[in-house]
Amino acid sequence: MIELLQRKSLVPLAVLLLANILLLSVQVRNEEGRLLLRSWSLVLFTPIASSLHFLVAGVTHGLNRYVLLYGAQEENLQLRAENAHLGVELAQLRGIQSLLSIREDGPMFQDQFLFDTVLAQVIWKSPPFYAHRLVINAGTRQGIQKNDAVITPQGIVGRVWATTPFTAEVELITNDGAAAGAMLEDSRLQGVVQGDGSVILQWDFIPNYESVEVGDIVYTSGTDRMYPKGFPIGQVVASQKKGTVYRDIQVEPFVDYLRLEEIMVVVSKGGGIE
Amino acid sequence: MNETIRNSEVVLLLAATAVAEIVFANYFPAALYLDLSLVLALYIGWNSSPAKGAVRGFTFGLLKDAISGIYLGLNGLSKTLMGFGGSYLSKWLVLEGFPARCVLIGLLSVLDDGIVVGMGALLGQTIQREMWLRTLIQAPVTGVAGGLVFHVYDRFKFPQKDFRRL
Repeated sequence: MIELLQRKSLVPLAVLLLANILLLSVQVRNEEGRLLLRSWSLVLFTPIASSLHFLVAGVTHGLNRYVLLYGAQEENLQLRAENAHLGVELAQLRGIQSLLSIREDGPMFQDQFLFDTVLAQVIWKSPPFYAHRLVINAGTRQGIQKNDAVITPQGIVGRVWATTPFTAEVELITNDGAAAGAMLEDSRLQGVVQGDGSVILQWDFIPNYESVEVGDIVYTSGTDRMYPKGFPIGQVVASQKKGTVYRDIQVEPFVDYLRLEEIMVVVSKGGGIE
Repeated sequence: MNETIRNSEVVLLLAATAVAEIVFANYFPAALYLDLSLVLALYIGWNSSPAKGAVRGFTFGLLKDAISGIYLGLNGLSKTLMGFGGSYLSKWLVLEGFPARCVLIGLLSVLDDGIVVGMGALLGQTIQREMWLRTLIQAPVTGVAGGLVFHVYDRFKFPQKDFRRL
């Protein structure tokens, strides 16, 4: 076919350019079509990424487990101390859970704070220049669905964008167009945190007359019905009045997205503390 | 027309590029300043007919889109033009010198990035603040690396003949 077309070399060029533009228009106009195409490309490249991840993780784990043991004892002691603290916190949370279960409106609060998670490893990150996305080694077979929240103990990561049976693509909160309901810890002031493709988030819809200081911690508000309430997002690094109605507030996320290795996907709410 | 790249070679280069791009993105982010897809699309276009150059550039572009997680077709469009343009440039320009090739590939890298970012902006994507800095770093890195790839691949494909033995 190429041989036939190359007699008029501009014809195949025009056909290919048209194909590209059609491909782009299908993705932009049709949300479902975009996810389908992304899922296909996920299925295509996941074996390569999984193999590489398996190889690198195997070598790294082997080295860490059998060779690079310097400092292991100190780390062990530190982990024991941390485990003891976490045991105390767990006991406190169980107490709160039992209190909530007594109240009539308790289940409503439980849904906001208690949830089940699936632990997954990052097997592939998109080049950060273009899109802030990553692929994890857990999918619909593990109960993961589109729009499930993705978190780490340090803070929120993003949401599930597309799924396959054994993998899922995650859109980071820093990606252009990603957003989450957010609030301040002390004043409970609420707004929307949005990504714009850079490593800093924008906190929108905070009126000029409200006081937001550099260093304030921003948490999820739960108003988006996606992220669990009260999870840390980041710290305010710039806050100034603009000419418009709303302040210009920038938030630096707590999670270092370039160094993410393990994440948790919130698969259902109201699971309780086991 | 100088047809020296076989389809099997292109498939191998596509596979190698996929592995390299995934490794770069996950383990050596600094290496992402090298636009390997562009370099190979240009080289293949340089040594192909315009039609084949465009088709092969298109496949390299789609591969990069799929790995990058952006709209499928953004790099597809730009690399199609690069593969096609590379073929025509090979007819118009005689670029045997290493510095000249580096400069040309660097300039085409800027053009390619401009097409991708421009099309992305038309589709509603935000142009990142550090985009210009990235392009400024990417152009010389891709230019020099591209010059090296052209040089090494040329030596491999067209070994120098020892005319004293003829």
